[in-house]
Amino acid sequence: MTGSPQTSRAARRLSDVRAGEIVRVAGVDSGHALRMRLLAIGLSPGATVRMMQRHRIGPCILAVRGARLALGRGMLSRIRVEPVS
Amino acid sequence: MSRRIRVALAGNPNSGKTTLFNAITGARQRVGNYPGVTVERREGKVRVGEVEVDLVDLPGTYSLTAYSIEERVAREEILRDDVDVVIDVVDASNPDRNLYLTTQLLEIGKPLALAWNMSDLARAAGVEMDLEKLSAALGAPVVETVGHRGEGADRLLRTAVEVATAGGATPARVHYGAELDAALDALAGRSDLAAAAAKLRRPARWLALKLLEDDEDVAARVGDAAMREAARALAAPIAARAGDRIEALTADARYGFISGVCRAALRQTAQLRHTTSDRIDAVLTHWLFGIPIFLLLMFGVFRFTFALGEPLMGVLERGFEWLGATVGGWWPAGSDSLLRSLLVDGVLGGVGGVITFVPNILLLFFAISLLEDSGYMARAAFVTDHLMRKFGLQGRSFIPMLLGFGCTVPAILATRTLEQGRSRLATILVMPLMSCGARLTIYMLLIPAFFPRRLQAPVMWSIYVIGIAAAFTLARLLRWTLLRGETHPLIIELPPYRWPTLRSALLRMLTQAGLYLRKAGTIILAISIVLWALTTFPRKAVFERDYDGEAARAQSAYEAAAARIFETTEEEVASAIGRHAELTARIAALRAQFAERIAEEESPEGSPERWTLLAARDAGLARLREEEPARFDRALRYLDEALAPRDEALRAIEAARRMERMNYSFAGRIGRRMEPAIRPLGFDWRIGTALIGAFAAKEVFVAQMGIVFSIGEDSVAALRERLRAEYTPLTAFSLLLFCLLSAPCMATVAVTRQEAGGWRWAAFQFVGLTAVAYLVSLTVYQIGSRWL
Repeated sequence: MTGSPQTSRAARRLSDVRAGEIVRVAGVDSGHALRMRLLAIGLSPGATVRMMQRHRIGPCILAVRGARLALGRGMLSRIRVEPVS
Repeated sequence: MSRRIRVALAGNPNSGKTTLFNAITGARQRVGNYPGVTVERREGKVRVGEVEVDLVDLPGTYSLTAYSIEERVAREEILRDDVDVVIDVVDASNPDRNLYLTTQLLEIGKPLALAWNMSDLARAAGVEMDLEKLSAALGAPVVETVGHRGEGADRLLRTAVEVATAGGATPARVHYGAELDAALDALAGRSDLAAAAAKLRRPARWLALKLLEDDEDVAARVGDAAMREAARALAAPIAARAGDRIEALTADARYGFISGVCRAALRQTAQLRHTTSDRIDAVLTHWLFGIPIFLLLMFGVFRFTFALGEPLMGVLERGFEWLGATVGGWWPAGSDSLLRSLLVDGVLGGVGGVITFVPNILLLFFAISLLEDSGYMARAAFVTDHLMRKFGLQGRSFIPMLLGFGCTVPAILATRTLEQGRSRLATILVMPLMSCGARLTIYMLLIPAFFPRRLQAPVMWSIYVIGIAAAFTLARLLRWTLLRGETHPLIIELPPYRWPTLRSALLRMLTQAGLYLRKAGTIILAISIVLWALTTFPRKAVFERDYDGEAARAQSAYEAAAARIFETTEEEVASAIGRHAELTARIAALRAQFAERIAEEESPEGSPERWTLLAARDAGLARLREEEPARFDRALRYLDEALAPRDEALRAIEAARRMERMNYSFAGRIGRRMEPAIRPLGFDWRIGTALIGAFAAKEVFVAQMGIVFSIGEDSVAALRERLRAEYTPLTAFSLLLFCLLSAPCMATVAVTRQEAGGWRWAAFQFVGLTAVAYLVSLTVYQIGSRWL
């Protein structure tokens, strides 16, 4: 088997990112209202995100476009990310 | 020539917009609500030379979509015809994100001026800026400001006036890429869209953009299916080719535009803005210490509030007592005037009771404002979010619920910081279960009366815990049933910590007090009068006993006794009493002081403390006897054998008269009618009557109990004695639970109506909580009485 189908199909999510890691936003899977909100606070495709704080449970703190944002886990799992090139 | 212009102040949350607004308008501002929603609306007036400026502070928003109430309100306000110019307040230390709103304002095309706010912080953080280039790139003037010091505010206003009167530069156009720009031009060029734009008074290009972005609000307003279809047909292939939605593409283009502007006009030499803040956050939002630190801070807020508030409350209480006595004094003593009763018992008693809480509310809001301005409140929402979410509430619900321990009214007002919607409504509905300060007076009456000392603290504690448990259980149930739906996901900005300013905290405190007092002045006044009428009418004219005759007899018995003691005639007795008055007063003062100290220190009989106090009193009395050997014994006898019995008799007569009146009044009758319904809870009609009074304000319960048991309100100890004789501890516990859970007070009902948007929810809260209280008390009493 060359490469598990799991990793190729399911994109990495912001909820999987470790503390201190820097990634880029690839896309958002959510309803219209929530997407507009995320875009407005800076989480648009292409934005660089640094995971500032991540605990075992509860929301996480991100650094995006010069601001610190706290987002709930549910929200994070809807944001697709890719490595920064 | 004088002119009037209207300026709207827009900006991100935490951009310092409101601070700047306060700096410009000071106390000359009016706070109200946007019609139909609970978004605060602030307006102020200023003069700039010949021009009268109406300044509107819009709610802080990150963008101008129509997906939150705040954004919709801000957008509507900006699009109003009479808004001549928009001032966009930008946090200069975070331009990347703040300029996103700016791009949307450019799209709308209204004359625009930028406040480059907190520019001192930006400089300190190493941002080098060329405001001329920035202004050229945006097509709008940019003015440097430092909001909390009011720096640049004058120049900003003058610039805004210039833009409004002379017409400023043309706002820059954001480009969305060749394909989208072409689609936008095609759509904006349609004649039906031009017609719709003219009819809706919206810029055509903006309307076209919103249709492409599939903005629900705009689409609904346009209503024309053909046009929406055309927009969809134009958008679909572009979205498909790009592999993303139109709104993501436009957002991307906006951020692209912003980075272009920033590259041209700004140079970031160091990234310092957050380092200190991040270090503080490592502690304050720590996974383990975050919540304890939060609880500690809240404990501090309460200590501060009550330590400073109690004495002020005492002053206000005495003030109202004095006012009551003064107003009462306009009528002859013992007057039965209805107007007097209405003014003294109804208006002053009711409204006064509510106003006495103002110092606590002010201080609570002052402390909360300080925390809010420092940036901590966003962290508090962060650390409590996970826990609150389990109950269908938001992290931000926690602070208002804590305020509920002080007073429910400001707590409900504080829910304005929550995201609108069902979880906020649930927070409001269960708020009365957080046991407020006024209910503490009920517990303080009942608990010492029925429970031994070692059980008093646990009983009190259990009442609070039961209230909290009930609040969270009911919130969870509501969110599973009537208020089902997703909780707003947590998306919150954690602004950098900064020092709060006294000025802004004071301003916010005064605003809140204004809201509270306006309520006390209107609806609470009305309900106070209704409740007064319930306890006053119908008036009993013929009493079962001849109270006036009894009082007269007590008076003549007193005079006879005094004459006997002073060995004088009844004609001369008044002057004899007068001659002994000073000495009598000194003896009475010594005794009163002793009684007060005992009550204060709660020293049990036979304890060494009690002996010391007793010895001090007796020494004082002995000194008096030495000073006045001839008159001392007579004064003592007069005090004990003439004066005290008469006062006791008059008090009893007055109390009996009040009880008879109360029995005869509507409240008494309702209480009696209620008895069959509340009997299973262990209550009788007297408790029922007092519970009606508790609706005015919870602490009124204590006074009402005093009346129905015909014991003077001032004698808590005597009242406790009577209660102990009448009821069992089980009834008392059932009653404690009922007072905790049932019908919120009238001020709460009024504020719920306002904040939840209608009488419907206020009625639901009132009936629902009373039903819950009934069930809980019923269960406790029935199980308890079988079991014990």
